[in-house]
Amino acid sequence: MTNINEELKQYKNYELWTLQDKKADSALTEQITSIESNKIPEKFTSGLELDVGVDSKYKLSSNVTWLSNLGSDEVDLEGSDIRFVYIADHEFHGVSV
Amino acid sequence: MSEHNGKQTTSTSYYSIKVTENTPYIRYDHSLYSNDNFLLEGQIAAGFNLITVEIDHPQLSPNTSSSLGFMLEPSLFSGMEIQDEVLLGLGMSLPLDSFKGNANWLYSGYTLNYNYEITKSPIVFLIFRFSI
Repeated sequence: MTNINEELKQYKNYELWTLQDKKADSALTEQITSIESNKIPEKFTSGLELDVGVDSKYKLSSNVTWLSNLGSDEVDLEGSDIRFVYIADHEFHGVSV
Repeated sequence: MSEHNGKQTTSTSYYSIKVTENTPYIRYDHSLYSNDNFLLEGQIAAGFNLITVEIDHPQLSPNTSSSLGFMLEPSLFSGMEIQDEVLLGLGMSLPLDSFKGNANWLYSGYTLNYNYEITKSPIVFLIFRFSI
């Protein structure tokens, strides 16, 4: 009878250890998943973006004619760009102006 | 939305040019590298470009023309998280579109033609991104 009791105890312990292992495994998986979701792109599945162009330049080439060819020239156009972006979905961003 | 200005001087006078653009577009972003507070993205934008060009000359009446073009713009963005869910970064865009046009005036009984072509240089953007 004592032997049977000892065997049962061991079996219970085995079950407990198995359960603890499983718990530990799932905790680890959850931890890894939560680290993935903290990455920056995951946080910006939707959002707003403001883009300000710094000192942008265009090059204008021109040719003027009046009675005959008056000449060609090139000039820089300087200015600014501003953009508003609505981020509609992960990686695929929406309408902007 | 953008505005660019310039002045082209001639031997006797000048033309002043103002280019205004309104550009609705869609953009695809692909994350190249990211960690907890840094992000590097490759982006490609495509859309339409409504361009208005105003050309002024002191001795001629102002000339304004509008046109609709197609825009295509690859770019690179790198940003870092400065606050929770706020990114501050820099972007470098390479606009691939260019446009041509002309302005005409009747001057002393003869037509004065001003033909132009505008090409864009790479643009550096300061970028704020907010999560909502």
